Amino acid sequence: MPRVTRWFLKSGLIFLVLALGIEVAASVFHTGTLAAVIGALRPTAFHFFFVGWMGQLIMGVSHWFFPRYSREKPRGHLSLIWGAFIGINLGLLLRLVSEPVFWNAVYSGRAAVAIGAAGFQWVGFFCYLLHIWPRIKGK
Amino acid sequence: MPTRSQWTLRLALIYMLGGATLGAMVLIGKVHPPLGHWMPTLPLHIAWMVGGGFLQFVMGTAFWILPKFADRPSFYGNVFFFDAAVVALNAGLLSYSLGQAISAFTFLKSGSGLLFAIAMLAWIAHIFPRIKPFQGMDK
Repeated sequence: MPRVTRWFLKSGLIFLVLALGIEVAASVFHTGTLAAVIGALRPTAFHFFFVGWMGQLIMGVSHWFFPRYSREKPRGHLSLIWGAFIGINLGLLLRLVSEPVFWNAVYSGRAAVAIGAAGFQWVGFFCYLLHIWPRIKGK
Repeated sequence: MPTRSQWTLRLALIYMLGGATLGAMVLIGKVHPPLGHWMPTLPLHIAWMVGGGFLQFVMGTAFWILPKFADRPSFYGNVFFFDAAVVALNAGLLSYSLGQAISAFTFLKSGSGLLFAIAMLAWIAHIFPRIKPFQGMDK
């Protein structure tokens, strides 16, 4: 299993645990400040599950299994797939500290961080597309 | 990789990038009011990422990688059901997108639900017989 695949899968498992943790907490706490904070984190948990877990599972495994790019570079340009890994993970972590509205009360730079989160995640997906597209072929 | 998988995976990647673009704009719109008009595209973002991207990617990869039928004329099983699933899923996504984006086409959204159901039933009909041991490894 290639190194970047291992990183994708391990990071994906961590995001899966975080997403489940937030959802379990949301089902336990129904009132009070903690419930409000957890409620605000639920869109982030949703993205931890779908992008952090499922997206990274797809990216990591397809990089490992898909037809080789060329004889010289069997898995294609590794800088692109590492770019995807960094973009997705950095984007999701920035999202955690930017998207929930309660951060407005904590610091003023939330908008810039949220834009960074959106940008990094988009770049992550774009790098993945550029990396995997040439490997979708017959042999 | 069979041609059907190649087309399905390419469609999945296009939806994934489109969905990521909408998601980025929605997230930026949350913190940057001049771009707040992107917020209503949230249902499209979810449909494109989950249905068009992740689900379609899984369908294309499973068609390629699951056990085949070496002793049958059709190596990949009943491909009619696979084709029907891909066509119905993409027709459903298209009609859902038009219904979501253009108020005159709102009626298309109800039809898209039926198309998604047909896609999933056809997909199950195709893939169910292929969930079996690899030939020669039965024992």
